[in-house]
Amino acid sequence: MTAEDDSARFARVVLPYLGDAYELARWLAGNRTDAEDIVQEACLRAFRGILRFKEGNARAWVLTIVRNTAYTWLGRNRPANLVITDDLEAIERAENHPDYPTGSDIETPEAALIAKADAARVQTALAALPAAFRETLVLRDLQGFDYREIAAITGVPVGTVMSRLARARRRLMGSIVKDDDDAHV
Amino acid sequence: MPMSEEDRLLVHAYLDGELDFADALALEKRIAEDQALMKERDRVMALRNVLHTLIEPERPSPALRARIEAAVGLRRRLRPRSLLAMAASIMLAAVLGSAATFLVVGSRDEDSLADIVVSDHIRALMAPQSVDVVSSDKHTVKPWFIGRIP
Repeated sequence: MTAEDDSARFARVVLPYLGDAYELARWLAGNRTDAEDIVQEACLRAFRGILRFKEGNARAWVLTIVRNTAYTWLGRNRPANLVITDDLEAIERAENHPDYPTGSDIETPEAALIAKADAARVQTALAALPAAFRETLVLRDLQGFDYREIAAITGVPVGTVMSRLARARRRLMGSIVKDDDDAHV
Repeated sequence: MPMSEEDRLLVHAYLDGELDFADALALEKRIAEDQALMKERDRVMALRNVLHTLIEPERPSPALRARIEAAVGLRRRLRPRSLLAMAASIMLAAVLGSAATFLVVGSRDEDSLADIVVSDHIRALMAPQSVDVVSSDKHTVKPWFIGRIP
């Protein structure tokens, strides 16, 4: 009886999700080169820990490692840009204040206006979201993970996932359409 | 009529298929009777549609997969069958390297002894398989014979 060796296990568990891994890394890092570095590092981590993977949701397991590796990598290579999650709450509080200039709750654009957004604007707006919002939105709307999977991957309760997702989408709606107004100022 | 944050999250969850059928039906009824909920539903649908259709999927380069496979020991295509064949490959690579240097740097005069030895070595060591640049085999052969090339 031959046990599956680590390389074969890796090929079975991790390699099928290389594309998804790269996509998440790409949206967290902002460019291809860094994303590929992150994926490579994540794959090595996954390989070293492959025996720790209990059969189950391999896709979520792989993406969890990629996500954690990305933040470690970013912390190492771009410490100035890293926004800690706690700050996110402070940002939200500030934005919900009625005096805040781009008051998020006041005018969310209509569906018709959102539908007219162009690809470049959407791409830029998504890239500009704070990391916690961006990753939640990418995992849901680009990669199709459900709320429980996103909670597991990002290490937060489902309620937080729901809140971040709704806020991320609201911000995105505002950004997609706001640029249009700015152009006329 | 302002929408509560809880209702907003429900609308999102509904569109994400996270509500069970009973809750989904109940919310649909409420949406039909509430302008604010309906507008939220419409704009989230519009946004999701935009995201699905306008965002290009990001794809890794083929080289990434190759590098990862090599790093975890999955690339076996170029692995030689025996220690001797690997030794021969390394020798060939070393000889070709020095021969190439010689061609660039060396004189064009009649064949020196070094030239003859080098070309003889090349002929003798033509290995059946292609030259290995990177071996995925964990066992590395120390190139003890490289120093012997004149």
